[in-house]
Amino acid sequence: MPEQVPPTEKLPPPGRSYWGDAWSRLARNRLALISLWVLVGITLFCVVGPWLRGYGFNDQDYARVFADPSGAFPFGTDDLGRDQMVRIMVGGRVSLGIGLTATAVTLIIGVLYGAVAGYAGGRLGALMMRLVDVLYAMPFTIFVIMLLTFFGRNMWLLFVAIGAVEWLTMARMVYGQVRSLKERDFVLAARMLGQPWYRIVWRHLLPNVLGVIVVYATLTVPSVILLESFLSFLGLGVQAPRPSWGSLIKFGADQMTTSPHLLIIPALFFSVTLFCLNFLGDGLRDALDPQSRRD
Amino acid sequence: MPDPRLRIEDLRVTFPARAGRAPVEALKGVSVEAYPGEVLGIVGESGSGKSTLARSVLHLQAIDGGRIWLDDTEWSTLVPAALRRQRHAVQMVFQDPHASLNPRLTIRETLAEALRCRPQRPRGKAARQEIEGWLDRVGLPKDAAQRYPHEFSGGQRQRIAIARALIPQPQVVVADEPVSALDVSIQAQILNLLESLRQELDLTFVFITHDLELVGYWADRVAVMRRGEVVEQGDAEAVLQRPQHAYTQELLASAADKRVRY
Amino acid sequence: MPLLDVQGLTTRFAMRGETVHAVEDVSFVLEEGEVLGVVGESGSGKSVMASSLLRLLPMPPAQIAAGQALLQTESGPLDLLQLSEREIRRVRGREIGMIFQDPMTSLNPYLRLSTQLTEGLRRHYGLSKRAAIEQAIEALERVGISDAAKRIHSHPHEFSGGMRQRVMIAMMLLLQPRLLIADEPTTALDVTVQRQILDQLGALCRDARTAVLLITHDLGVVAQRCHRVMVMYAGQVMEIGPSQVICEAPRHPYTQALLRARPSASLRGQPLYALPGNPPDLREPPVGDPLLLRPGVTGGDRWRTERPPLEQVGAGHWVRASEAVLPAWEEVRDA
Repeated sequence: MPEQVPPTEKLPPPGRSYWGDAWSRLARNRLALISLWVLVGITLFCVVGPWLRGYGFNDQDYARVFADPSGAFPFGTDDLGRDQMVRIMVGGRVSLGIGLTATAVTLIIGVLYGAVAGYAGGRLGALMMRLVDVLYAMPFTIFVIMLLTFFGRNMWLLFVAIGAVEWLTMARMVYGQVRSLKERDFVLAARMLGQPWYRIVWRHLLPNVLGVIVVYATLTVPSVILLESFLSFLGLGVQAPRPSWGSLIKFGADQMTTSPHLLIIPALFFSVTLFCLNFLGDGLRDALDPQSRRD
Repeated sequence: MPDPRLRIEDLRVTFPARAGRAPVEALKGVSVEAYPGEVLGIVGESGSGKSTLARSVLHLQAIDGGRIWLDDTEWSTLVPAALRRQRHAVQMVFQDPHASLNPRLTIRETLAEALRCRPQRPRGKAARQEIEGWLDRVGLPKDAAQRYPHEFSGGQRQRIAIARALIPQPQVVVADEPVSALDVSIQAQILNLLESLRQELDLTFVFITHDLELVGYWADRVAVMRRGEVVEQGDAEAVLQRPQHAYTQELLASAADKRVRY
Repeated sequence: MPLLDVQGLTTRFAMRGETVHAVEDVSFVLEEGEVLGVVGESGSGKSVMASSLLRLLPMPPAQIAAGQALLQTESGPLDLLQLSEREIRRVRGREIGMIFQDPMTSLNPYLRLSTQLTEGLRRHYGLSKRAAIEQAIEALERVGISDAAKRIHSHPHEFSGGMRQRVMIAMMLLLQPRLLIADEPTTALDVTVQRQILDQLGALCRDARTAVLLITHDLGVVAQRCHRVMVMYAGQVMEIGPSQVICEAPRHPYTQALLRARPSASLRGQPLYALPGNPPDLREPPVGDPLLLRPGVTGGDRWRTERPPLEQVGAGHWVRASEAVLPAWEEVRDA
């Protein structure tokens, strides 16, 4: 019998990679794209702004307390005559910084914990997730409040406390995803080829959960900022005189009747940021969702 | 008759009881053997245990009793270190070509992983040539290597999956419904490819399917499974022409119902 | 007058600035009590064609660019493609029944079967709850579900895939639609179950005079179960005619290739006839004979730049003209 060689097939020109494909889909989502640019703008404003502004966030001047917005002080001044604009910038640094740091903590702990528990499966995985359930059941707002009252209001402690609340959800989500993925044929194929477990987790499982992780992370940032604002609002957030958006809003709320701009402007920054993060998160979910991919 | 390449003796697998459900005996003492260079067809419907059998042979499923031999090695009891060294000897082609390739890896990365499984693995340029050689062998152009799975059709993906299974240089290939997710004309392409590779590389196939026409076409011997047991086994032509067991007869009648005379 | 008369159905998808020509100018008729099999490979447009008739496609991106589909009803002929959303919803379920590969697409997981099976009876025929349940139990028994009086109170997930498909058929028995569109109803099932389901479908169309549009990739199902067959490729009808004639003496080279590719015990030891390549990319629809785009196919220059017409070659047997010459067996094997 002659040797049979199957006819070689021609392929269409190379398409885009998964990420290229996702990016082009995100780029077509106008709302998500505008949100991305607005976020970049706000971040630049907060990070670079204080250097250009020429006032420190704690430079007090009793000659100009409660000034209305004007050319010299576009956002007005507060009860100590501090420039509200630079305080919003610095407050943004704090809020965005906490948002990003606590999300990073969440990502690292939650993703690793969830992925290991999911891949291990069986009793070990179940045990690890029961622990998460137990932690979930604790009233965390009270936990954070207690932590901060006992150990003092330290910004790092705030990061850790918030991260500790948020990683649980991430861990659960990754756990669920990994568990369903690990029964997929391509993971079985990797096991059949004798790949060690850490390689399977790293190369086969995590990249396929990454879409969901990225999306969830963008949604975690606003919830962390919100949590910090909530704590600030209770007077448990960042230590005065250092501002955060939350503490600025709390202060503004007290002056609402006399100087509404002290509430409106920081609240505007805060809510625009949250909206943008949510729109971006939604856009990313649509862009990365494998269901909507043309297969 | 030569010694069997793959010998399965009294294989038992039980899935433990789960929330309110009794334990399931997926395999209740299955014995089959596959001789060098032959295609052993395993026929059965869903729940017959045929896929559990495949997974057991691949060490993807822990067994509760019985033995699996590969030539003179007791395959089922290999310690992890020995298994790592010999794992390449048994490989698998899966049913669903859309699920069997990692969507985030290029074809080159997927095939390179298979190459690592070989006892003496080629590196650098030799590895590159080996991968391109295999792409050509399964009928795909060289530039397929840098692409991602979603750029290929089902049939093309199955060719890639076949390359991945054969790159480790296995002796036994378990093919679990390798063509049932494909269109008729693509099925024919893949079956021809599998057959030509079998001849060229003297492979032993364990061919799992629900389709008796396919078994009649390709398998040398056949084992009919039902509810975790082999109800009939023997020479494929004999079993299909003179089925002894009532269940085999029922299967054949259902299949005859779909025969086309052309 | 035929029960269903489809003329020039054309469906396109507009995606990312590209147009996918999924169904091109498909015409056929279906008589009462007749089973018409629609065969084709994936991407042939067979499922899109069915969904177009049922108006189940998301629009956009889908767009029914042309055609009409007249269904005879008691109140006269209706053009399915022109009905309003509300009207088509009334037609689906009452005049047209649907069975899909995955029965769970049509069964509500949260409702008991008793509710789902009787809903239509009570709404369309105004039966009392008790009478409707009695009829439903009888229907379940007819499709071979034992202990129906008890099991009618279960939820869909308590049934296996084959059982759910039987439940769907029981639902069709109850509603007695004039037309049943079944899209790969047995593909996911075991062969022994497939046979029973097809038997029941056949009985339904014999007893209730229901016309069935049976969409399948399985030529075996077509040969044994359908009165007539329509072979689709690249969104177009390649051949349509009595199933016995087409399965034994196919005229179009594509139908021939399809039939020759089937493995069977009688071909043991020989390579299968595997037409090389893949079906065409419908983003750039073939202008002429779509078969000419497959590698290895020669000749056929007559229809390279012009779409070949359907020609009548026998009683009720139409074939799209083609001068394509399939590659020889040896070439396909050794190419």
